[in-house]
Amino acid sequence: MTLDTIDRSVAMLVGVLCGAVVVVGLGMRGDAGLFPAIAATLGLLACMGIGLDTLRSRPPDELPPSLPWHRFTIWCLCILGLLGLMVTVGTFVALPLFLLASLRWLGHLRWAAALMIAIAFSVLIYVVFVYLLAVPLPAGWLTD
Amino acid sequence: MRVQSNLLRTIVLGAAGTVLVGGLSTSALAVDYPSKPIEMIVAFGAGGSTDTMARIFAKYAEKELGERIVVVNRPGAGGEIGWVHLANAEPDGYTLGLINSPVVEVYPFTREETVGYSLDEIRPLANVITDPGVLAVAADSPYQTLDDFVGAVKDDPESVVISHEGLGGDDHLAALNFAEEAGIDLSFVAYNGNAEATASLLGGHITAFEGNMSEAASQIQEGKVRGLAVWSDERVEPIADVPTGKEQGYDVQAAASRGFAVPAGVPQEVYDMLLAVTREVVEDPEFRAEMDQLNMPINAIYGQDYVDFINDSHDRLKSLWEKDPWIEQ
Amino acid sequence: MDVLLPALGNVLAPMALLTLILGTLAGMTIGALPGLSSTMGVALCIPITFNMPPELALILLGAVYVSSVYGGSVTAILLRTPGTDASIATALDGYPLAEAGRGGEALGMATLGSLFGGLFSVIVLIAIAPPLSTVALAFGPQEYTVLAIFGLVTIVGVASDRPLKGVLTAAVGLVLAAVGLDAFTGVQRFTFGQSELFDGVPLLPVLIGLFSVSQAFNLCVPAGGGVLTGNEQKLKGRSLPLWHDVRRSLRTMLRSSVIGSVVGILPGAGTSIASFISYNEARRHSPTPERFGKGELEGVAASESANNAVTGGTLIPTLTLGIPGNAVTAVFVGGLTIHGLIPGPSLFTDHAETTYTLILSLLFANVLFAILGLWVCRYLVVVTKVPGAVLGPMILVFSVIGTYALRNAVFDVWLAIGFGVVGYFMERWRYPAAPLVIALILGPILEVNFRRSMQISHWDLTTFFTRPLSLTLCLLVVLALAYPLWTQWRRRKLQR
Repeated sequence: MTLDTIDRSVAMLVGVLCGAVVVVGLGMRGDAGLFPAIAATLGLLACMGIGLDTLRSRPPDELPPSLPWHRFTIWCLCILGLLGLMVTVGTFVALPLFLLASLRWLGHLRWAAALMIAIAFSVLIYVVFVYLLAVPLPAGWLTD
Repeated sequence: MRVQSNLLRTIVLGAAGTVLVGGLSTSALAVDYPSKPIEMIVAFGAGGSTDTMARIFAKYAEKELGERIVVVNRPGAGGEIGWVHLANAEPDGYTLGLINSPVVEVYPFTREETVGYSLDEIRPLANVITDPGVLAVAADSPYQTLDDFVGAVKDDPESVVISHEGLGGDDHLAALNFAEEAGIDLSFVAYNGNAEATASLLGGHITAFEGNMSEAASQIQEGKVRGLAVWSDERVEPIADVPTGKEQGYDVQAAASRGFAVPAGVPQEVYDMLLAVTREVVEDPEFRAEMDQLNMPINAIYGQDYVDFINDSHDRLKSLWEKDPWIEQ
Repeated sequence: MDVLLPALGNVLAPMALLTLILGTLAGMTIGALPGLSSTMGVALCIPITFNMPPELALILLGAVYVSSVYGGSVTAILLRTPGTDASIATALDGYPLAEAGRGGEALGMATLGSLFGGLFSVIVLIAIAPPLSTVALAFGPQEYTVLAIFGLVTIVGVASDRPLKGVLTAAVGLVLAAVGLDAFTGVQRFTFGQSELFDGVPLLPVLIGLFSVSQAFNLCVPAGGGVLTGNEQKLKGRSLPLWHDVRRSLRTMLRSSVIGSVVGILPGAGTSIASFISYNEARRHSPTPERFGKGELEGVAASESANNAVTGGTLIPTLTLGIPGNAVTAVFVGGLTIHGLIPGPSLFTDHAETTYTLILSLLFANVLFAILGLWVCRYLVVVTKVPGAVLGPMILVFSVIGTYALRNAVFDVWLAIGFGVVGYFMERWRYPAAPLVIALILGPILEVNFRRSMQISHWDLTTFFTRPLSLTLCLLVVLALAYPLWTQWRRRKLQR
């Protein structure tokens, strides 16, 4: 996909959303919907502008830099794993696992190095947030 | 009147309670509680007046309990988020929270469709602070009394603009109550907090300010702001020269109260123990001195009395709401 | 002024100096970590001050406050992960410099700019605080409305090479700003019944998502990614800016300090308005405006001197009127009252010694963070050489933990991750993120004050033009809008 195609799709999608906001906003009680309706109208105009802009024939229609889907997927899975484990098993199980996984599979560090950094960094987070700042991070199974 | 009789009772009960607890907490009640840190949920942000009171209270209560109290701020939705957390917490005595009346009891009907807790899920423990409402104008305002003010509104309703700090909050309810009592219509401007509203009042952009005593006291004492009325039974320190609404013929009672509550279903022994600890702290002269310094008037209501206090207020406000909802439906 | 000497004695006492140093270090760290804002830093320090004498408590709070604002610039420049909205404008030019291996120079300039702005505003605070506090009161809802529009107009400057896309993201930001319970009618706007959204879309999770989380994607996803671009991945340039560059930026620093101090005085106006207006003004007055946004040291100086000048400015209404200038100083007021100091004129009479101790400690904290900053920045730059896939996960962890810590809500973490993915694709598709954040900050200020103006004037739109101050601001807006168009037109005419 070229940038122009992407821009056109984005303009369409956001434009429809803005339109919906205008409709909902105007239906609100009192003057509550006035401001969102004005903002969304502005968005709608910008979308139309962007859409028209893509139709103008300009020679250099660039391609966005290619996305390495393989690495992108691994990274997203790592993040989902981190959040999932954080609320179930607890922050200080999730953190080292997340760091280990992403450093090993994305950073291609050796297991030993990845493990060391993961543990050291988790300890740092523990000291800063739990010990010094007393932030009650989700502890999961580690409570009691 | 009610507040007074409560006070009297609490003094008597408090004395008896102190004697009892001294013996009980070490023997019969000591079912190994507390054996780990206790979480105290504050439904407002760190550094605010509710938070300040919570942290000072925690400092004293830790000494009584012999266990750490961790203050956890869960702000959002005007307190609702924190109260949902409180209502859903494990009723084991390791979670308690602050509740702000009248806000905590109005959400169940003003936000009927979306609210995430009900009053049945929260068991009030003890009230600590009752901060009466104050109606104030700038020092250079022509209005000296409530009558002047009401007269001006009757002459030209558009000439008077009054601030409140949140739709359906205690300030807004107080002003509505006053408007009803005086038979006038007020035009309101909503502010997010005391700071901006005070700046607007001092700058002459609004006519009057409806807020709480603790927020207005220092400005009144410095003579920059004139208190027209305080919405309580009797005049309050440190602004004793501000007359009550009742004295001026407008019987309006309004205040913001802050107290403690636990999730419903907490074992009775634990509830009693927490109540005894709260009583110890609230009766501590040092704690009272710190509250005085912050212009936060202590109004101790313990246990069942506090439960009744919240329920009565809920019923009264609900019937008002059903008659004339203050948020457009 | 005879209280200045005993106050100086208070600050220079051994315990006080130790507190000052610890507070400055803590503040710099807190500011640098994404997700830990100045507000939170000060709030977290308040329980620690419970058992301290009032002088030490104030020194600690003051040091944490000013140095946390500075600390934000370090990560904004080196990693493009601004910890608070105050340093977004810093990242605009700071990060391109870091990418080019000139992170040291950018940090040095940020330090000097912060020092200049901080000192300027503290001197203003000492010299003319009481008369200046009337400025805070002169601004009514009408003026705030126009000021918010002024801030939004700076988006034209920020997103100048793609104005339409900038307007679109700003509009999206304005719509997001409308989410939540409406303060005037109680209507639920686009909350979908989520009680976490009743107070609106929380700013910091969005900010952390769009900048820090998306940056973690940028660093992690491409194989062999990293901060430094170009083939030879080494640090070029020096570790400190040239004297020539500093001298060139002095005028900008002075202008930004004035803007920062004035905006700071206005309760609720916000640090980011100051830094963006200053950034835009610096760009407008520069002989080479096209270099802004691509790594211009003057842009870093403008934003940093403005946001540090705000620190002293916000304390003016806080100390003289008892009206906190922003969220940090609101927490500050809590800290003051705990120690029996009720903000207001009595602070300058009955408690003058304590008050001047606070003010002087701000002065010293500014100098101290500058010394520490200039000393460590040559070492900190090494961070930019760390491989992206190692840096990325760490930035993500800080973002996740920091976002959670804001209000202990998992919802906010998901929000930050969501905006991180959006921000990543926005950047790839060349949609600027800064206008969205500015609009999200200024939207509520604009809307609330516009509706307040309407309530006060009973729907009379001329109210914006009949008040002298608001009319002046309106003219400034027109100027800021027309100037770039006019220069463009003139340039085109000259080319012909």
